Amino acid sequence: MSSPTPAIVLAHGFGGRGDLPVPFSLALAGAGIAVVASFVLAAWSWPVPRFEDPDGGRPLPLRVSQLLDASWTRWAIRAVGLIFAAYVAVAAWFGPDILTNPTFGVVYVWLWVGLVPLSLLFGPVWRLLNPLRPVHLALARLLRVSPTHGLVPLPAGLGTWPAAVGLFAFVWLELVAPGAATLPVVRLWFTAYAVITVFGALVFGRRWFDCGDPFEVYSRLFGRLSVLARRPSDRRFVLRNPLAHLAMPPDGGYVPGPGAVAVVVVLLGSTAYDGVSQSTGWVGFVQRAALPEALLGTGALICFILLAAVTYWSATVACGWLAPARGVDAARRLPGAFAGSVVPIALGYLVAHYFTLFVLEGQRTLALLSDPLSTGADLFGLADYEVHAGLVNDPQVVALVKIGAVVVGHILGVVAAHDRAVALFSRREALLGQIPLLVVMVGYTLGGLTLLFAT
Amino acid sequence: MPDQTRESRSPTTKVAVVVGAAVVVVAAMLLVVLALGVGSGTGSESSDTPVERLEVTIEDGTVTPNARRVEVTEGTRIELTVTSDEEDALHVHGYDEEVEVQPGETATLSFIADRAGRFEIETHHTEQLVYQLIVKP
Repeated sequence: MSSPTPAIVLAHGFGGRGDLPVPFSLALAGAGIAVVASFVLAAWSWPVPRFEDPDGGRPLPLRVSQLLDASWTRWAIRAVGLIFAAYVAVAAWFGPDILTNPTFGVVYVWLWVGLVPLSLLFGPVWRLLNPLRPVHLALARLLRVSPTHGLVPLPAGLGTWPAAVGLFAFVWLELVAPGAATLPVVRLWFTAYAVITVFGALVFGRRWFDCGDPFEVYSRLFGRLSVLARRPSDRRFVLRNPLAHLAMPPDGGYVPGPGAVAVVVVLLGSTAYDGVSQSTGWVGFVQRAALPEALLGTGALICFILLAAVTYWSATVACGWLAPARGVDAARRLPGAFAGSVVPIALGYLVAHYFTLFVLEGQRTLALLSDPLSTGADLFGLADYEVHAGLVNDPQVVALVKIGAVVVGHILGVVAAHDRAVALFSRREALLGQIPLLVVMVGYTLGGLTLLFAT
Repeated sequence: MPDQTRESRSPTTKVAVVVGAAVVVVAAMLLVVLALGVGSGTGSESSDTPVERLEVTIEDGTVTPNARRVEVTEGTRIELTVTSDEEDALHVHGYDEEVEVQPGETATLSFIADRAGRFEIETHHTEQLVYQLIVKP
Protein backbone atom coordinates (compact mmCIF):
# COMPACT_ATOMS: atom_id res chain seq x y z
CA MET A 1 0.00 0.00 0.00
CA SER A 2 2.73 2.47 -0.89
CA SER A 3 1.31 5.88 -1.61
CA PRO A 4 2.54 7.14 -4.95
CA THR A 5 4.92 10.06 -5.04
CA PRO A 6 3.51 13.24 -6.57
CA ALA A 7 5.99 12.99 -9.46
CA ILE A 8 4.49 9.68 -10.54
CA VAL A 9 0.93 10.91 -10.37
CA LEU A 10 1.95 13.96 -12.34
CA ALA A 11 3.41 11.96 -15.18
CA HIS A 12 0.14 10.20 -15.78
CA GLY A 13 -2.42 12.87 -16.25
CA PHE A 14 -5.70 13.29 -14.54
CA GLY A 15 -7.92 10.87 -12.63
CA GLY A 16 -7.09 7.30 -11.64
CA ARG A 17 -10.05 5.16 -12.50
CA GLY A 18 -11.67 5.04 -15.90
CA ASP A 19 -15.21 3.99 -16.73
CA LEU A 20 -15.93 0.42 -17.73
CA PRO A 21 -16.80 -0.09 -21.39
CA VAL A 22 -20.54 -0.03 -21.92
CA PRO A 23 -21.97 -3.56 -22.36
CA PHE A 24 -22.35 -4.48 -26.01
CA SER A 25 -26.02 -5.41 -25.60
CA LEU A 26 -26.77 -1.97 -24.20
CA ALA A 27 -24.91 -0.18 -27.00
CA LEU A 28 -26.77 -2.32 -29.53
CA ALA A 29 -30.12 -1.50 -27.93
CA GLY A 30 -29.22 2.20 -28.02
CA ALA A 31 -28.21 1.98 -31.67
CA GLY A 32 -31.46 0.23 -32.56
CA ILE A 33 -33.54 2.84 -30.80
CA ALA A 34 -31.63 5.68 -32.47
CA VAL A 35 -32.07 4.25 -35.96
CA VAL A 36 -35.75 3.38 -35.52
CA ALA A 37 -36.55 6.71 -33.86
CA SER A 38 -34.81 8.61 -36.67
CA PHE A 39 -36.87 7.10 -39.42
CA VAL A 40 -40.12 7.17 -37.47
CA LEU A 41 -39.56 10.87 -36.85
CA ALA A 42 -38.64 11.51 -40.48
CA ALA A 43 -41.73 9.72 -41.72
CA TRP A 44 -43.99 11.34 -39.13
CA SER A 45 -43.47 14.75 -40.59
CA TRP A 46 -45.07 17.88 -39.28
CA PRO A 47 -45.89 20.40 -42.00
CA VAL A 48 -44.97 23.72 -40.39
CA PRO A 49 -42.01 24.54 -38.16
CA ARG A 50 -43.02 24.06 -34.54
CA PHE A 51 -40.12 25.75 -32.85
CA GLU A 52 -39.48 28.86 -34.92
CA ASP A 53 -41.59 31.31 -32.97
CA PRO A 54 -39.23 33.97 -31.66
CA ASP A 55 -41.72 35.55 -29.28
CA GLY A 56 -43.01 32.32 -27.77
CA GLY A 57 -42.34 31.15 -24.26
CA ARG A 58 -43.68 31.98 -20.85
CA PRO A 59 -42.33 35.33 -19.59
CA LEU A 60 -40.81 35.38 -16.14
CA PRO A 61 -42.53 37.79 -13.74
CA LEU A 62 -41.38 41.30 -14.58
CA ARG A 63 -39.79 41.69 -11.14
CA VAL A 64 -37.64 38.59 -11.59
CA SER A 65 -36.61 39.77 -15.03
CA GLN A 66 -35.72 43.21 -13.68
CA LEU A 67 -33.81 41.69 -10.77
CA LEU A 68 -31.77 39.54 -13.17
CA ASP A 69 -31.06 42.55 -15.35
CA ALA A 70 -30.29 44.95 -12.49
CA SER A 71 -26.81 46.36 -12.89
CA TRP A 72 -25.78 45.40 -9.35
CA THR A 73 -26.84 41.79 -9.96
CA ARG A 74 -24.74 41.65 -13.08
CA TRP A 75 -21.78 43.31 -11.40
CA ALA A 76 -22.09 40.92 -8.46
CA ILE A 77 -21.87 37.94 -10.86
CA ARG A 78 -18.93 39.57 -12.70
CA ALA A 79 -17.21 40.08 -9.33
CA VAL A 80 -17.68 36.38 -8.52
CA GLY A 81 -16.07 35.43 -11.84
CA LEU A 82 -13.20 37.87 -11.37
CA ILE A 83 -12.45 36.94 -7.75
CA PHE A 84 -12.61 33.23 -8.47
CA ALA A 85 -10.30 33.57 -11.49
CA ALA A 86 -7.82 35.58 -9.39
CA TYR A 87 -7.96 32.92 -6.67
CA VAL A 88 -7.20 30.14 -9.14
CA ALA A 89 -4.46 32.24 -10.76
CA VAL A 90 -2.74 32.45 -7.36
CA ALA A 91 -2.86 28.64 -7.11
CA ALA A 92 -1.59 28.32 -10.68
CA TRP A 93 1.34 30.68 -10.21
CA PHE A 94 2.30 30.12 -6.58
CA GLY A 95 1.10 26.60 -5.83
CA PRO A 96 3.28 23.51 -6.30
CA ASP A 97 3.18 21.68 -9.63
CA ILE A 98 1.41 18.56 -8.39
CA LEU A 99 -1.96 17.10 -9.34
CA THR A 100 -3.47 18.17 -6.03
CA ASN A 101 -3.10 21.76 -7.20
CA PRO A 102 -6.74 22.78 -7.80
CA THR A 103 -5.84 24.54 -11.07
CA PHE A 104 -6.18 21.34 -13.11
CA GLY A 105 -9.59 20.47 -11.71
CA VAL A 106 -10.84 24.02 -12.21
CA VAL A 107 -9.64 24.18 -15.82
CA TYR A 108 -10.44 20.69 -17.10
CA VAL A 109 -13.46 19.82 -14.96
CA TRP A 110 -15.16 22.96 -13.65
CA LEU A 111 -14.55 25.18 -16.64
CA TRP A 112 -14.61 22.79 -19.61
CA VAL A 113 -17.17 20.30 -18.32
CA GLY A 114 -19.01 22.40 -15.73
CA LEU A 115 -19.73 25.19 -18.15
CA VAL A 116 -22.02 22.82 -20.07
CA PRO A 117 -24.61 22.14 -17.29
CA LEU A 118 -24.31 25.76 -16.13
CA SER A 119 -25.12 27.01 -19.63
CA LEU A 120 -27.90 24.44 -20.03
CA LEU A 121 -29.51 25.81 -16.87
CA PHE A 122 -28.93 29.54 -17.24
CA GLY A 123 -28.01 30.22 -20.86
CA PRO A 124 -24.80 31.89 -21.99
CA VAL A 125 -23.48 32.53 -18.46
CA TRP A 126 -19.83 32.84 -19.43
CA ARG A 127 -20.66 36.26 -20.88
CA LEU A 128 -21.21 37.39 -17.31
CA LEU A 129 -18.67 35.26 -15.47
CA ASN A 130 -15.83 35.82 -17.96
CA PRO A 131 -13.09 37.53 -15.90
CA LEU A 132 -11.54 38.95 -19.06
CA ARG A 133 -14.52 41.23 -19.74
CA PRO A 134 -14.00 43.41 -16.63
CA VAL A 135 -10.26 43.33 -17.30
CA HIS A 136 -10.88 44.56 -20.83
CA LEU A 137 -13.23 47.28 -19.58
CA ALA A 138 -10.65 48.56 -17.08
CA LEU A 139 -7.84 48.49 -19.66
CA ALA A 140 -9.99 50.22 -22.28
CA ARG A 141 -10.79 53.01 -19.81
CA LEU A 142 -7.13 53.27 -18.89
CA LEU A 143 -6.00 53.45 -22.52
CA ARG A 144 -8.91 55.70 -23.48
CA VAL A 145 -10.13 53.23 -26.10
CA SER A 146 -13.86 52.77 -26.64
CA PRO A 147 -14.76 49.46 -24.94
CA THR A 148 -17.66 49.02 -27.36
CA HIS A 149 -16.10 49.99 -30.67
CA GLY A 150 -12.39 49.45 -30.08
CA LEU A 151 -10.07 50.87 -32.71
CA VAL A 152 -11.25 49.23 -35.91
CA PRO A 153 -14.56 47.58 -36.87
CA LEU A 154 -14.78 43.81 -36.57
CA PRO A 155 -14.42 42.17 -40.03
CA ALA A 156 -17.88 41.02 -41.06
CA GLY A 157 -16.92 37.65 -42.51
CA LEU A 158 -15.10 36.55 -39.37
CA GLY A 159 -18.08 35.08 -37.52
CA THR A 160 -17.09 32.64 -34.81
CA TRP A 161 -14.00 31.39 -36.68
CA PRO A 162 -11.59 32.86 -34.06
CA ALA A 163 -13.48 31.00 -31.33
CA ALA A 164 -13.38 27.77 -33.36
CA VAL A 165 -9.60 28.13 -33.52
CA GLY A 166 -9.54 28.84 -29.78
CA LEU A 167 -11.68 25.78 -29.08
CA PHE A 168 -9.34 23.67 -31.15
CA ALA A 169 -6.42 25.06 -29.14
CA PHE A 170 -8.17 24.11 -25.90
CA VAL A 171 -9.10 20.55 -26.91
CA TRP A 172 -5.53 20.15 -28.16
CA LEU A 173 -4.27 21.28 -24.75
CA GLU A 174 -6.61 18.89 -22.97
CA LEU A 175 -6.23 15.81 -25.15
CA VAL A 176 -2.85 16.05 -26.91
CA ALA A 177 -0.47 18.57 -25.39
CA PRO A 178 2.54 17.01 -23.64
CA GLY A 179 2.38 18.06 -20.01
CA ALA A 180 -1.28 19.08 -20.14
CA ALA A 181 -1.38 18.29 -16.42
CA THR A 182 1.63 20.41 -15.53
CA LEU A 183 1.36 24.01 -14.39
CA PRO A 184 3.79 25.67 -16.85
CA VAL A 185 1.83 24.33 -19.83
CA VAL A 186 -1.56 25.36 -18.38
CA ARG A 187 -0.16 28.79 -17.42
CA LEU A 188 1.29 29.31 -20.89
CA TRP A 189 -1.99 28.37 -22.58
CA PHE A 190 -4.15 30.62 -20.41
CA THR A 191 -1.72 33.53 -20.61
CA ALA A 192 -1.76 33.33 -24.41
CA TYR A 193 -5.56 33.01 -24.38
CA ALA A 194 -6.00 36.00 -22.06
CA VAL A 195 -3.59 38.22 -23.98
CA ILE A 196 -5.11 37.38 -27.39
CA THR A 197 -8.68 37.79 -26.11
CA VAL A 198 -8.14 41.09 -24.29
CA PHE A 199 -6.00 42.46 -27.11
CA GLY A 200 -8.65 41.45 -29.64
CA ALA A 201 -11.33 43.16 -27.58
CA LEU A 202 -9.26 46.35 -27.31
CA VAL A 203 -8.77 46.39 -31.08
CA PHE A 204 -12.24 45.30 -32.23
CA GLY A 205 -14.34 46.30 -29.23
CA ARG A 206 -16.16 43.98 -26.86
CA ARG A 207 -17.96 42.19 -29.69
CA TRP A 208 -14.69 40.31 -30.00
CA PHE A 209 -15.70 38.30 -26.93
CA ASP A 210 -18.82 37.10 -28.76
CA CYS A 211 -16.86 35.72 -31.68
CA GLY A 212 -13.31 35.25 -30.42
CA ASP A 213 -13.51 33.92 -26.87
CA PRO A 214 -13.81 30.11 -27.15
CA PHE A 215 -15.44 29.70 -23.74
CA GLU A 216 -18.09 32.33 -24.49
CA VAL A 217 -18.96 30.66 -27.77
CA TYR A 218 -18.96 27.24 -26.07
CA SER A 219 -21.24 28.50 -23.31
CA ARG A 220 -23.54 30.21 -25.81
CA LEU A 221 -23.73 27.06 -27.92
CA PHE A 222 -25.07 24.94 -25.06
CA GLY A 223 -26.94 27.92 -23.64
CA ARG A 224 -29.13 27.64 -26.73
CA LEU A 225 -30.52 24.44 -25.23
CA SER A 226 -31.49 26.22 -22.04
CA VAL A 227 -35.05 26.63 -20.85
CA LEU A 228 -34.18 30.19 -19.90
CA ALA A 229 -34.07 32.52 -22.90
CA ARG A 230 -34.40 36.16 -23.79
CA ARG A 231 -37.25 37.25 -26.04
CA PRO A 232 -35.63 39.09 -28.96
CA SER A 233 -38.39 41.71 -29.19
CA ASP A 234 -38.05 43.17 -25.69
CA ARG A 235 -35.05 41.27 -24.22
CA ARG A 236 -37.31 39.97 -21.47
CA PHE A 237 -36.50 36.62 -19.85
CA VAL A 238 -38.83 33.80 -20.84
CA LEU A 239 -39.01 30.10 -20.08
CA ARG A 240 -39.36 28.08 -23.24
CA ASN A 241 -38.95 24.72 -24.90
CA PRO A 242 -35.17 24.24 -25.29
CA LEU A 243 -35.64 23.17 -28.92
CA ALA A 244 -37.50 26.41 -29.58
CA HIS A 245 -34.65 28.28 -27.96
CA LEU A 246 -32.23 26.39 -30.21
CA ALA A 247 -34.18 27.42 -33.30
CA MET A 248 -34.55 31.02 -32.17
CA PRO A 249 -33.31 33.60 -34.67
CA PRO A 250 -29.96 35.07 -33.74
CA ASP A 251 -30.21 37.71 -31.05
CA GLY A 252 -27.75 40.46 -30.23
CA GLY A 253 -24.64 38.47 -29.55
CA TYR A 254 -25.12 35.37 -31.62
CA VAL A 255 -23.24 35.39 -34.88
CA PRO A 256 -24.46 32.56 -37.11
CA GLY A 257 -23.02 31.67 -40.46
CA PRO A 258 -19.25 31.92 -40.65
CA GLY A 259 -17.62 29.67 -38.11
CA ALA A 260 -20.82 28.19 -36.65
CA VAL A 261 -20.16 24.88 -38.40
CA ALA A 262 -16.47 24.99 -37.45
CA VAL A 263 -17.35 25.34 -33.76
CA VAL A 264 -19.72 22.37 -33.85
CA VAL A 265 -17.38 20.05 -35.78
CA VAL A 266 -14.44 20.88 -33.50
CA LEU A 267 -16.57 19.69 -30.57
CA LEU A 268 -17.82 16.57 -32.37
CA GLY A 269 -14.42 15.59 -33.77
CA SER A 270 -12.50 16.18 -30.57
CA THR A 271 -14.93 14.12 -28.49
CA ALA A 272 -14.56 11.25 -30.97
CA TYR A 273 -10.78 11.56 -30.77
CA ASP A 274 -11.01 11.54 -26.97
CA GLY A 275 -12.76 8.18 -27.13
CA VAL A 276 -10.42 6.64 -29.71
CA SER A 277 -7.25 7.89 -28.01
CA GLN A 278 -8.16 5.93 -24.88
CA SER A 279 -8.42 2.63 -26.72
CA THR A 280 -5.63 0.10 -26.24
CA GLY A 281 -5.36 -0.19 -30.02
CA TRP A 282 -4.48 3.48 -30.44
CA VAL A 283 -2.20 3.62 -27.39
CA GLY A 284 -0.40 0.45 -28.55
CA PHE A 285 0.08 1.91 -32.02
CA VAL A 286 1.45 5.20 -30.68
CA GLN A 287 3.82 3.45 -28.28
CA ARG A 288 5.39 1.39 -31.08
CA ALA A 289 5.37 4.18 -33.67
CA ALA A 290 8.55 5.97 -34.67
CA LEU A 291 6.90 9.39 -34.59
CA PRO A 292 6.41 11.36 -31.37
CA GLU A 293 3.14 10.87 -29.53
CA ALA A 294 2.18 14.57 -29.66
CA LEU A 295 2.58 14.66 -33.44
CA LEU A 296 0.43 11.56 -33.97
CA GLY A 297 -2.15 12.87 -31.50
CA THR A 298 -2.33 16.24 -33.23
CA GLY A 299 -2.68 14.56 -36.61
CA ALA A 300 -5.41 12.24 -35.39
CA LEU A 301 -7.29 15.07 -33.66
CA ILE A 302 -7.25 17.11 -36.87
CA CYS A 303 -8.34 14.06 -38.89
CA PHE A 304 -11.36 13.46 -36.64
CA ILE A 305 -12.38 17.11 -36.82
CA LEU A 306 -12.00 17.07 -40.62
CA LEU A 307 -14.02 13.85 -40.78
CA ALA A 308 -16.83 15.51 -38.81
CA ALA A 309 -16.55 18.61 -41.02
CA VAL A 310 -16.57 16.76 -44.34
CA THR A 311 -19.45 14.45 -43.41
CA TYR A 312 -21.55 17.28 -41.97
CA TRP A 313 -20.81 19.70 -44.81
CA SER A 314 -21.45 17.22 -47.60
CA ALA A 315 -24.66 16.00 -45.94
CA THR A 316 -26.11 19.50 -45.69
CA VAL A 317 -25.01 20.36 -49.22
CA ALA A 318 -26.64 17.14 -50.41
CA CYS A 319 -29.80 18.25 -48.60
CA GLY A 320 -29.72 21.35 -50.77
CA TRP A 321 -29.35 19.29 -53.96
CA LEU A 322 -32.30 17.08 -53.10
CA ALA A 323 -34.54 19.93 -52.09
CA PRO A 324 -34.10 23.47 -53.38
CA ALA A 325 -34.06 25.74 -50.36
CA ARG A 326 -36.11 28.89 -50.11
CA GLY A 327 -34.53 32.28 -50.55
CA VAL A 328 -31.63 33.75 -52.44
CA ASP A 329 -28.34 31.85 -52.11
CA ALA A 330 -30.05 29.58 -49.61
CA ALA A 331 -28.15 26.42 -50.54
CA ARG A 332 -24.83 27.94 -49.54
CA ARG A 333 -26.23 28.85 -46.15
CA LEU A 334 -27.51 25.33 -45.46
CA PRO A 335 -24.50 24.04 -43.46
CA GLY A 336 -24.80 27.01 -41.11
CA ALA A 337 -28.57 26.80 -41.00
CA PHE A 338 -28.52 23.22 -39.72
CA ALA A 339 -25.58 23.69 -37.32
CA GLY A 340 -27.87 24.13 -34.30
CA SER A 341 -29.42 20.71 -34.80
CA VAL A 342 -26.06 19.01 -34.23
CA VAL A 343 -25.68 20.72 -30.83
CA PRO A 344 -27.84 18.13 -28.95
CA ILE A 345 -25.72 15.34 -30.49
CA ALA A 346 -22.51 17.02 -29.35
CA LEU A 347 -24.11 17.46 -25.93
CA GLY A 348 -24.98 13.76 -25.74
CA TYR A 349 -21.36 12.83 -26.49
CA LEU A 350 -20.02 15.26 -23.91
CA VAL A 351 -22.34 13.89 -21.21
CA ALA A 352 -21.34 10.31 -22.07
CA HIS A 353 -17.65 11.11 -21.96
CA TYR A 354 -17.41 13.44 -19.01
CA PHE A 355 -20.20 12.97 -16.51
CA THR A 356 -18.38 10.53 -14.20
CA LEU A 357 -15.30 12.75 -14.34
CA PHE A 358 -17.49 15.73 -13.52
CA VAL A 359 -19.17 14.05 -10.55
CA LEU A 360 -15.98 12.62 -9.03
CA GLU A 361 -13.26 15.11 -9.94
CA GLY A 362 -15.65 18.04 -9.69
CA GLN A 363 -16.17 17.25 -6.01
CA ARG A 364 -12.49 16.55 -5.45
CA THR A 365 -11.64 19.95 -6.92
CA LEU A 366 -13.96 21.55 -4.38
CA ALA A 367 -11.94 19.97 -1.58
CA LEU A 368 -8.63 20.90 -3.22
CA LEU A 369 -9.68 24.55 -3.54
CA SER A 370 -9.67 24.75 0.24
CA ASP A 371 -5.89 24.34 0.16
CA PRO A 372 -4.85 26.22 -2.99
CA LEU A 373 -1.10 26.25 -2.32
CA SER A 374 -0.86 22.71 -0.85
CA THR A 375 0.33 24.13 2.44
CA GLY A 376 -2.10 22.14 4.55
CA ALA A 377 -4.43 25.13 4.78
CA ASP A 378 -8.18 24.65 4.98
CA LEU A 379 -9.62 28.01 3.96
CA PHE A 380 -13.23 26.90 3.50
CA GLY A 381 -13.29 23.92 5.85
CA LEU A 382 -13.73 21.60 2.88
CA ALA A 383 -10.25 20.05 2.76
CA ASP A 384 -11.54 16.84 4.33
CA TYR A 385 -14.62 16.72 2.12
CA GLU A 386 -15.24 13.14 1.06
CA VAL A 387 -16.19 12.60 -2.55
CA HIS A 388 -19.73 11.21 -2.80
CA ALA A 389 -19.60 8.76 -5.66
CA GLY A 390 -23.28 7.85 -5.29
CA LEU A 391 -24.77 6.38 -8.44
CA VAL A 392 -21.52 6.87 -10.34
CA ASN A 393 -20.20 3.89 -8.40
CA ASP A 394 -22.72 1.63 -10.10
CA PRO A 395 -21.36 0.59 -13.53
CA GLN A 396 -24.84 -0.25 -14.79
CA VAL A 397 -26.22 3.18 -13.96
CA VAL A 398 -23.16 4.77 -15.58
CA ALA A 399 -23.66 2.70 -18.74
CA LEU A 400 -27.36 3.60 -18.85
CA VAL A 401 -26.65 7.31 -18.49
CA LYS A 402 -24.02 7.18 -21.24
CA ILE A 403 -26.18 5.33 -23.76
CA GLY A 404 -29.23 7.34 -22.73
CA ALA A 405 -27.38 10.64 -23.26
CA VAL A 406 -26.20 9.68 -26.74
CA VAL A 407 -29.61 8.35 -27.80
CA VAL A 408 -31.63 11.25 -26.36
CA GLY A 409 -29.15 13.74 -27.87
CA HIS A 410 -29.59 12.04 -31.22
CA ILE A 411 -33.39 12.11 -31.05
CA LEU A 412 -33.44 15.80 -30.09
CA GLY A 413 -31.00 16.50 -32.92
CA VAL A 414 -33.24 14.73 -35.44
CA VAL A 415 -36.31 16.61 -34.17
CA ALA A 416 -34.46 19.94 -34.43
CA ALA A 417 -33.14 19.09 -37.92
CA HIS A 418 -36.60 18.11 -39.12
CA ASP A 419 -38.01 21.38 -37.87
CA ARG A 420 -35.26 23.29 -39.67
CA ALA A 421 -35.92 21.30 -42.85
CA VAL A 422 -39.61 22.19 -42.74
CA ALA A 423 -38.68 25.86 -42.36
CA LEU A 424 -36.02 25.86 -45.08
CA PHE A 425 -37.61 23.71 -47.75
CA SER A 426 -41.05 23.60 -49.25
CA ARG A 427 -43.28 21.08 -47.54
CA ARG A 428 -43.12 18.45 -50.23
CA GLU A 429 -39.34 18.50 -50.40
CA ALA A 430 -38.60 18.80 -46.70
CA LEU A 431 -38.92 15.05 -46.22
CA LEU A 432 -36.44 14.28 -48.96
CA GLY A 433 -34.19 17.19 -48.10
CA GLN A 434 -33.46 16.06 -44.58
CA ILE A 435 -32.46 12.48 -45.48
CA PRO A 436 -28.68 13.04 -46.03
CA LEU A 437 -28.34 14.86 -42.71
CA LEU A 438 -30.38 12.15 -41.01
CA VAL A 439 -28.07 9.46 -42.38
CA VAL A 440 -24.98 11.34 -41.17
CA MET A 441 -26.55 11.87 -37.74
CA VAL A 442 -27.25 8.14 -37.48
CA GLY A 443 -23.61 7.58 -38.48
CA TYR A 444 -22.34 9.91 -35.75
CA THR A 445 -24.49 8.18 -33.16
CA LEU A 446 -23.49 4.66 -34.19
CA GLY A 447 -19.85 5.78 -34.13
CA GLY A 448 -20.28 7.31 -30.68
CA LEU A 449 -21.96 4.17 -29.34
CA THR A 450 -19.22 1.98 -30.83
CA LEU A 451 -16.62 4.05 -29.01
CA LEU A 452 -18.53 3.65 -25.77
CA PHE A 453 -18.41 -0.13 -25.83
CA ALA A 454 -15.05 -0.54 -27.56
CA THR A 455 -12.99 1.74 -25.33
CA MET B 1 -64.39 25.11 -32.13
CA PRO B 2 -63.01 22.03 -30.39
CA ASP B 3 -62.12 20.63 -33.81
CA GLN B 4 -60.18 23.75 -34.68
CA THR B 5 -58.19 23.51 -31.45
CA ARG B 6 -57.40 19.91 -32.21
CA GLU B 7 -56.39 20.80 -35.72
CA SER B 8 -53.94 23.47 -34.61
CA ARG B 9 -52.48 21.35 -31.86
CA SER B 10 -52.11 18.13 -33.75
CA PRO B 11 -48.53 18.64 -35.06
CA THR B 12 -47.31 19.45 -31.54
CA THR B 13 -49.18 16.45 -30.24
CA LYS B 14 -47.57 14.33 -32.93
CA VAL B 15 -44.12 15.48 -31.94
CA ALA B 16 -44.91 14.91 -28.29
CA VAL B 17 -46.28 11.44 -29.02
CA VAL B 18 -43.26 10.46 -31.10
CA VAL B 19 -40.71 11.81 -28.64
CA GLY B 20 -42.66 10.35 -25.75
CA ALA B 21 -42.91 6.96 -27.45
CA ALA B 22 -39.20 7.00 -28.24
CA VAL B 23 -38.36 7.81 -24.62
CA VAL B 24 -40.69 5.07 -23.37
CA VAL B 25 -39.12 2.55 -25.76
CA VAL B 26 -35.62 3.62 -24.67
CA ALA B 27 -36.56 3.30 -21.03
CA ALA B 28 -38.24 -0.08 -21.52
CA MET B 29 -35.33 -1.58 -23.46
CA LEU B 30 -32.78 -0.25 -21.03
CA LEU B 31 -34.77 -1.63 -18.09
CA VAL B 32 -34.89 -5.06 -19.73
CA VAL B 33 -31.14 -5.01 -20.32
CA LEU B 34 -30.54 -3.76 -16.80
CA ALA B 35 -32.71 -6.53 -15.35
CA LEU B 36 -30.83 -9.15 -17.39
CA GLY B 37 -27.53 -7.67 -16.27
CA VAL B 38 -28.48 -7.67 -12.60
CA GLY B 39 -29.80 -11.21 -12.88
CA SER B 40 -26.59 -12.57 -14.34
CA GLY B 41 -24.40 -10.55 -12.00
CA THR B 42 -25.55 -12.09 -8.73
CA GLY B 43 -24.22 -15.58 -9.22
CA SER B 44 -22.89 -17.81 -6.47
CA GLU B 45 -19.44 -16.85 -5.32
CA SER B 46 -16.77 -19.47 -4.92
CA SER B 47 -14.74 -19.42 -1.73
CA ASP B 48 -11.29 -19.40 -3.34
CA THR B 49 -10.15 -16.17 -4.96
CA PRO B 50 -9.56 -16.33 -8.71
CA VAL B 51 -6.07 -15.31 -9.77
CA GLU B 52 -4.90 -13.47 -12.89
CA ARG B 53 -1.16 -13.69 -13.53
CA LEU B 54 0.25 -10.87 -15.63
CA GLU B 55 3.82 -10.66 -16.86
CA VAL B 56 5.75 -7.57 -17.89
CA THR B 57 9.14 -7.58 -19.59
CA ILE B 58 11.28 -4.49 -20.11
CA GLU B 59 14.13 -5.22 -22.50
CA ASP B 60 16.25 -2.71 -24.45
CA GLY B 61 13.73 0.00 -23.67
CA THR B 62 10.88 -2.04 -25.14
CA VAL B 63 8.05 -2.88 -22.82
CA THR B 64 6.05 -6.07 -23.42
CA PRO B 65 3.11 -6.37 -23.64
CA ASN B 66 2.14 -3.24 -25.49
CA ALA B 67 -1.17 -1.79 -24.20
CA ARG B 68 -3.01 -5.08 -23.77
CA ARG B 69 -6.53 -5.21 -22.40
CA VAL B 70 -7.21 -7.72 -19.63
CA GLU B 71 -10.68 -8.39 -18.26
CA VAL B 72 -11.22 -9.80 -14.79
CA THR B 73 -14.15 -9.91 -12.40
CA GLU B 74 -14.21 -7.97 -9.16
CA GLY B 75 -12.39 -9.81 -6.38
CA THR B 76 -9.71 -11.35 -8.61
CA ARG B 77 -6.19 -11.42 -7.23
CA ILE B 78 -3.82 -9.75 -9.70
CA GLU B 79 -0.26 -11.06 -9.62
CA LEU B 80 2.12 -8.90 -11.61
CA THR B 81 5.62 -10.15 -12.39
CA VAL B 82 8.07 -7.61 -13.79
CA THR B 83 11.39 -8.55 -15.38
CA SER B 84 13.61 -5.70 -16.49
CA ASP B 85 17.12 -4.93 -17.71
CA GLU B 86 16.87 -1.38 -16.39
CA GLU B 87 15.64 0.33 -13.28
CA ASP B 88 11.97 1.12 -13.60
CA ALA B 89 8.71 1.07 -11.70
CA LEU B 90 5.23 -0.19 -12.49
CA HIS B 91 2.22 1.78 -11.38
CA VAL B 92 -1.39 0.64 -11.15
CA HIS B 93 -3.66 3.67 -11.46
CA GLY B 94 -6.77 3.95 -9.34
CA TYR B 95 -5.49 1.31 -6.94
CA ASP B 96 -2.33 3.38 -6.48
CA GLU B 97 -0.18 0.27 -6.28
CA GLU B 98 3.44 0.53 -7.27
CA VAL B 99 6.40 -1.84 -7.60
CA GLU B 100 10.00 -0.99 -8.37
CA VAL B 101 12.29 -3.27 -10.31
CA GLN B 102 16.10 -3.33 -10.42
CA PRO B 103 18.18 -4.19 -13.54
CA GLY B 104 18.33 -7.92 -14.18
CA GLU B 105 15.88 -8.71 -11.43
CA THR B 106 12.28 -9.79 -11.17
CA ALA B 107 9.80 -8.01 -8.96
CA THR B 108 6.25 -9.00 -8.09
CA LEU B 109 3.17 -7.09 -7.05
CA SER B 110 0.00 -8.66 -5.82
CA PHE B 111 -3.30 -7.00 -5.02
CA ILE B 112 -6.98 -7.81 -5.07
CA ALA B 113 -8.97 -6.01 -7.77
CA ASP B 114 -11.85 -5.14 -5.47
CA ARG B 115 -13.16 -2.07 -7.30
CA ALA B 116 -14.89 -2.14 -10.66
CA GLY B 117 -13.66 0.12 -13.44
CA ARG B 118 -10.95 0.60 -16.00
CA PHE B 119 -7.42 0.89 -14.64
CA GLU B 120 -4.17 1.54 -16.42
CA ILE B 121 -0.96 -0.24 -15.54
CA GLU B 122 1.97 1.82 -16.71
CA THR B 123 5.75 1.83 -16.47
CA HIS B 124 7.23 4.88 -14.84
CA HIS B 125 10.51 5.71 -16.59
CA THR B 126 9.60 4.42 -20.02
CA GLU B 127 6.04 5.77 -19.58
CA GLN B 128 4.32 2.99 -21.47
CA LEU B 129 0.84 1.60 -21.02
CA VAL B 130 1.37 -2.12 -20.41
CA TYR B 131 -2.07 -3.39 -19.45
CA GLN B 132 -5.49 -1.88 -19.38
CA LEU B 133 -7.19 -3.70 -16.57
CA ILE B 134 -10.96 -4.00 -16.91
CA VAL B 135 -12.46 -5.01 -13.56
CA LYS B 136 -16.07 -6.07 -14.09
CA PRO B 137 -18.56 -6.19 -11.23
